[in-house]
Amino acid sequence: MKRYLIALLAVGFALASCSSDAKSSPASEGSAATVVATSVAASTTAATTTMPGVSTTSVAPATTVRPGPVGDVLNVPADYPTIQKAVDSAKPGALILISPGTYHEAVNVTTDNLTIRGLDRNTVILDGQLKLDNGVRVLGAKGVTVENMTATNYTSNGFFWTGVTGYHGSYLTAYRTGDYGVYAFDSSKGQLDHVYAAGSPDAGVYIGECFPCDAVIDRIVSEHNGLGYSGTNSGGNLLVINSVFRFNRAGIVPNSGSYELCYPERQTTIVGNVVYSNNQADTPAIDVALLAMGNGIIPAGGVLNVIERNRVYDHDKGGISLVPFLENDPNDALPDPSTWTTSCAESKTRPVTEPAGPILWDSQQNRVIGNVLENNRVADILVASLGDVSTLGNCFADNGAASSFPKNIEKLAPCDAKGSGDWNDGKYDIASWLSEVHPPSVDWQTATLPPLQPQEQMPDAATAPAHPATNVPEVVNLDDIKVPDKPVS
Amino acid sequence: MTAAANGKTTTIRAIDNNFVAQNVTVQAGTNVQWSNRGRNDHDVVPVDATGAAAWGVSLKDFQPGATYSHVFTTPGSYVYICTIHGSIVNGKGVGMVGLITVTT
Repeated sequence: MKRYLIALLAVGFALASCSSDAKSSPASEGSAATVVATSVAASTTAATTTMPGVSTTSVAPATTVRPGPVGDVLNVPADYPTIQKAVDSAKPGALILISPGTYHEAVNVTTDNLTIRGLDRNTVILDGQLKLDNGVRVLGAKGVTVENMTATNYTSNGFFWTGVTGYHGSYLTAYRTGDYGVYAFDSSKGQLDHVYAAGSPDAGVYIGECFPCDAVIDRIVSEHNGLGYSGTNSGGNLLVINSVFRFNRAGIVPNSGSYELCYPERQTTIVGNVVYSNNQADTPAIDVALLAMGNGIIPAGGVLNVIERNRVYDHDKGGISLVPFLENDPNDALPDPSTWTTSCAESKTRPVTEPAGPILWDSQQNRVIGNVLENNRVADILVASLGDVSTLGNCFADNGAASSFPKNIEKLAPCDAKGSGDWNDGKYDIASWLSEVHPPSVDWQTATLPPLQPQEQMPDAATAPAHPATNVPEVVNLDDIKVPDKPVS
Repeated sequence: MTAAANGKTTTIRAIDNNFVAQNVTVQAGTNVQWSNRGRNDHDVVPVDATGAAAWGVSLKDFQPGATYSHVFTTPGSYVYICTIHGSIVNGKGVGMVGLITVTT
């Protein structure tokens, strides 16, 4: 029997597409702990966090379920004692409604087109107790929406989609997690909105290894993480908009590296965000976060990105820093620029050539336009390379009177015009950056975080119908997005 | 039928979140070495429960930069996963999954 099982798995594995062919029946492996704790009373009002530049409406969470949504609804714990049991029993298209309570579970989702919803974002709490790995993990299931709940104390991630087409995370709170807060990997056609993420050593919110990603990050707040946002080797219709990144080691960090597939990072559009005070020395932080500390928007080794109409201020180093990433122990050689727009799926078929030594991912051909920058203490705009920075093709326009390294960057490299000037005037010594010593990481389990405040609720949680992630991301008119105001302290 | 160690080594990189190469074929007696070349924690856990007792490496012992080796002496197909980033769903690999085929 054992031999048969292995053979079956091997055949299935060899034939499987890792990203899109999951069926709707539950996983055979029971990795989720399924102990449900006591229910707690739903709060009756919900305050909202300040989200500068974003309209935030305080919405009272519904605490009764009449009239409820129509269709296939599974109630936890009324009908199923655990979230996992409800998920395993649900058919595609079902709505799982979770009542307030603390759930010590690591939920695996392998059924397509589910909507998994908390009735109250602030009191439906998945708590990993510093032992369980992921709060909700969606494995290859298409179109799964997870919304209106909190995940905390997970050793890996709060909410995690991997290998999916169609995902939606909305009104989610991720607080104190061991890797990422909200994490979409090797996935496309997604949306993450109204997320609050704090206390991760890597990124509060992350989208990686996808091209084209066809995804939107909208109206999130990410703070007290190693990185506010990180996107390794992602891009292609990937928008990061209308959000707040503050009090992290570094703010918005698209990045390239061969420690994931589908390199490089490219074609991410970053518009209308408030990015400030990302110098936070008391967060948990991976090595990259230590290295990037003190920068607002830093596409390390990223290419073909658009950074436009953001407000970026109060950073010890750069407001917008186009800098290289030195990969000391690469797994592959640098991709030729002719392959930058190759799809992720196709790029995975390329042979790998392990270099003999380090490789340098330069930040190239990015457009930095119309941002408002101030009080970034090395420079508002910082451009650097270990090679000839004048050849990298980045351009700059309408960023006000921003200070820069090299000096007069908008004359040196204007967008859609020929530049002039001396690139060596104010050349930044990026090599010295690598030798800087930064405050060490703090243990994520014990890091001091701001007390978790009540977060904005999704409207009509008790009555809204299921809405699987089959029509995401939202359509965004980037032209409508203005430079956001500074938040009120 | 088992084979003695043959002195050969094949390396698999565990990056974020893939095993590279994902499908590996080796002769019985080959030492397979996994190297965590990513930024994240991973583990190597065989899907077969009996095999789990014989080989595999935990998160704690497979942090970024760490390596783990096992000599496969018995021909067969060995499916394994990173339990954080992969799984077998309905007999199919999803996410961070690998397959070692050991030949005679």
